[in-house]
Amino acid sequence: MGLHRGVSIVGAGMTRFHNKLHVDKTGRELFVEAALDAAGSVDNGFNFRDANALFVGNFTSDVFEGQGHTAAVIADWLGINPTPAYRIEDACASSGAALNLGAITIASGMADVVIVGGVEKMSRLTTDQVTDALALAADSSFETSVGFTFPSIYAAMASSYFKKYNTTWDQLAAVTIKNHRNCVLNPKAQFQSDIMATGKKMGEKSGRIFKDEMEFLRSDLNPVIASPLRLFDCCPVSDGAAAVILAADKLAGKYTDTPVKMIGMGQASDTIALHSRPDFTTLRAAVKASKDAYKMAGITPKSIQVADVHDCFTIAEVIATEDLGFFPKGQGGKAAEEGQTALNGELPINPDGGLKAKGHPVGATGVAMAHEMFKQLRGQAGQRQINGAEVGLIHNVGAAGASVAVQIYRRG
Amino acid sequence: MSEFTTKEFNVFVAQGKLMGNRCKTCGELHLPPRRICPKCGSQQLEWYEFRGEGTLGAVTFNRTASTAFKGRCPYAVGIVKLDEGPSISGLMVDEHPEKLAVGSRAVFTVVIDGEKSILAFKTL
Repeated sequence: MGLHRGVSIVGAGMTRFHNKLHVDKTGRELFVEAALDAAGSVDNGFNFRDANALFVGNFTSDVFEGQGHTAAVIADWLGINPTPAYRIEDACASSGAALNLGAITIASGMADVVIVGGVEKMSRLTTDQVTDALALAADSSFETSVGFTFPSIYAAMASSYFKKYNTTWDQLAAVTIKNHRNCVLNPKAQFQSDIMATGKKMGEKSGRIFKDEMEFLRSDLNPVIASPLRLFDCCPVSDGAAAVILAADKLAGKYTDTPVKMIGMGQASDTIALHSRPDFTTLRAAVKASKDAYKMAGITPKSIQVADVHDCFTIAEVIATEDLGFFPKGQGGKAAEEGQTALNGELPINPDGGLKAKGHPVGATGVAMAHEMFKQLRGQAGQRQINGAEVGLIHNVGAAGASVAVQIYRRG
Repeated sequence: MSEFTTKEFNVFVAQGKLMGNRCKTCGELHLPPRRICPKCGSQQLEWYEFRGEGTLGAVTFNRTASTAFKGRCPYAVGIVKLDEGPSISGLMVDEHPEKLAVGSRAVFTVVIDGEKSILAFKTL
């Protein structure tokens, strides 16, 4: 299986991800802002009316904003009626799935150019209400009904992982520290300070000085959310949107001399409940989706030079780097601890700060990852640029891995 | 016999029974019960009562509950791999929280919460 004609990203944009900055904006307004940023990034200019279709990844604007029918709302606000508009919902993998479907639509010949974006406006609700809303992506009948929430589902995975591979929380803390170092270099990231600076600021309030990152992360200022996961193991609540413009390869040259080609894609599903799977330390859908993407691209994990993976919780990044074939099972945490996934490491993971520090407006995350690849592979990632990166991968997970979208990109 | 619905499953839980089903074609056990066997695709299934004993495969002390569990915080929740094969999520109720660890033995129990009966386990 493969695409009958090639697809490239010719433009990418996003809003700042933030929990306070966008309080007074609606999701549609955030999406328009991201789409305008994407159009502005197209070297030879782009008119929204050039698009033959719109794909919007969104988890639950219904609950978060009291607004359904999101894609139609956005098509109207982009001024592109009667262009077809589709809303894609695969929980936190909504816009990763939308990217796959946008590319498939171009490959089918039904469209030459499509806008694919994602949006989530989460900050209108209280933290408790957000916890309830996100739990809708788990199994309401058999998981949330007995007390599971998202942090606790990933915490359960961590408990199983620690036991199986005889590892500890310290390796997870290495992921937190690394992703917070990266976010400082990304002006679009929600957080703008590393863990040392965060610890200094938070410690000042109670007159405490932490000698290093670990001392702060082990302190009561980093409380346990669901053991073994602490506050800084969890991504924040965020508002934001991201958008890319996809074009058939034969038309990409009209828009830019340096498109970013989607050379591989995969999408897989798994049981909705974690308990229905034989192993809680791997996401089978991520293994399958990435295997399909590597096969389509004709490459192996060794060819990947940069990756954005779905670190909704630190344990998720560790598991992702193993599922994607970057490190052997049980070694992902060690790799993070040794700096192999740092910006200057052998395989930089989440150079943009990841979900942990860039923020995670759930429906926007997959496309925000594609935005990062567009910037990295074109050498436009500023201070966080990975020199010479030509091949990158994104890994976008819905809930606890019941949906996973993977894409591999190469500079055109 | 009754249909393989969530409602029926919960009625059994309220009666202190952990009921799943067995595929008559391939023999695979399922918990909760399903209409279609995900292993072989058969729709020929029959009710099966699990003994309710197993081993903790994953467990956490949750301090950020959903609204419905707010009053219990912090509480433990986990996944028990039953001796017959399938695993299921449950609220962990235990007088000895130090025993709550991956690998501990656990047995099915029911927690009554107003109108609801919550599927739960306690360690042995």
